[in-house]
Amino acid sequence: MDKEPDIVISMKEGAINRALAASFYANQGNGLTALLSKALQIDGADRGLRLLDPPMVVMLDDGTTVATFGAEAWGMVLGVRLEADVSASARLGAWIADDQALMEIQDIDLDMISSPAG
Amino acid sequence: MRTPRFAVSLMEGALRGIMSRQAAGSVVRSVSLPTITIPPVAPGASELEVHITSLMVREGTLALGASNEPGETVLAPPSPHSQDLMIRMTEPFLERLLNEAWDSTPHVAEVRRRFDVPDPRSLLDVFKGAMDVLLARGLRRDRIRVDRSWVEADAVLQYSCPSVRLLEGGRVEITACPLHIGARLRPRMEAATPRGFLRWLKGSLMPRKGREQEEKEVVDLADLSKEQDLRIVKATARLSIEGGDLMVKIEDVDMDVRLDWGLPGDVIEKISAWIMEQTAERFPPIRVRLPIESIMIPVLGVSPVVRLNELRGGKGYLDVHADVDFIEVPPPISPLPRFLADGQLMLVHREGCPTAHQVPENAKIGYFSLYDALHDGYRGCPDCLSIYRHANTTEDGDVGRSVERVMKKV
Repeated sequence: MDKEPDIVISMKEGAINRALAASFYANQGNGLTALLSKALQIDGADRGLRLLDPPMVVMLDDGTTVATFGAEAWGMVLGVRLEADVSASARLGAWIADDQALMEIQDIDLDMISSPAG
Repeated sequence: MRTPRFAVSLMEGALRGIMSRQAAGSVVRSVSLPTITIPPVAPGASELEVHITSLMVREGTLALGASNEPGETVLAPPSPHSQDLMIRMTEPFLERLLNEAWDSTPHVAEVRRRFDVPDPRSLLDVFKGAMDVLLARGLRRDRIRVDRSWVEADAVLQYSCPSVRLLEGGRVEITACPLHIGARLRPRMEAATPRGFLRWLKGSLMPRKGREQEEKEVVDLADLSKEQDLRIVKATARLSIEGGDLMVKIEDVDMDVRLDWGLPGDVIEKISAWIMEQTAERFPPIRVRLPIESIMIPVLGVSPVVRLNELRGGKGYLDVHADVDFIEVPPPISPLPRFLADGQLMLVHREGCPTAHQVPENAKIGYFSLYDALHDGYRGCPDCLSIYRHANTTEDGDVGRSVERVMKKV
């Protein structure tokens, strides 16, 4: 027989977005940045990510989530530090298995925020 | 070095290629799940750790399932709700919270009442020795007149932890709640006796107006201590929100009271009814400080301000509806301030200053007027307001004099 959880926490996306904004304004979204960096595998010593603005998420009726965030990403290429301020929108699927949260990046859109001239 | 625009386009193309189903399939990343620490629900209670065990995304809503034990669970789609947050608690989980809260709830109630016994003979029949006390004073049985009789009862009701069952409409049924009663019972009577010879003589020599020809005496017929264990068979209670806490208050009680306390039947009936009434009335209200009030959201590291709005429930579950606010997100303002102060370095920047984006979010303060920023003790940013970089109004709070000093140095 399938086991039901002891508690179910159901949150409207409006509240989630306010929580994301609060995290950004309270602590630069450090925990969220660490999570995103790990998920996008840009958490090494030669690359990194910093949020520029509060992320936004929209829950769709097909069970996926669209996450939009502005970030300053940087990486070392041939000893040269390259950085870009980008606005990313990713369509994500998420589920839980084996005590792990799994996130599938189904699609991604990148926009350049600032040009080389700044 | 800034990455050229074409490089970003290339990066996007590469990512799309990697994630295309024709290639290696979509990118899947795994993240270990944080546990949620639920603060104590009552003073002295312990923290609870719950594990996130399931996740579901529906249009406009994210639902997380959490359990005391790790391991996957199956999440049924939660019912739609208009508030920001809905927390559904299962019966065993609610019972656990109530048990935690019960430990810090006073379980003992002391009650007292006097029961009039209209027919004193019923007491005298039970406590035959009482009459012997009066007779031993040399009085004749036919010269004693009993005016009234009563039983004084002091009882201590000691409740034990109840089991709960959730009913429809935010109500709970309480079952199997042991109850211990410790009672002190004192049957008493007021008897009128004719005055003795010496008192008659004293009364004759020192007459007082309206002096009674009889003396009244309260006689203790017995002093009984009784202990009895009872059980609340079934009781219903209403769940409500009071001052942000979840309250459980008893509405009615069904219990079997059989007291074998050696008193006349009609007195026992009255005491039994009284004990039932007091058991319901004095049942301690259980206050559960709902942990969502002070919970920290994992990963995000912020604590919402939760306003509990409504309770709804069905068989086996309780839904708590709430709205949430975050003090870190103030209401929108318009127009936007053109000056940005850094509360940590005490510098003020023009909007658009290249170093302004380095100001930590929680140190940013917007100013519509540079004058106000300087008045509040901020110095000018060396990049965009370098002329005021040595401005110092902390001595006298006077911007004019501060600028004057700065200009003299320039």
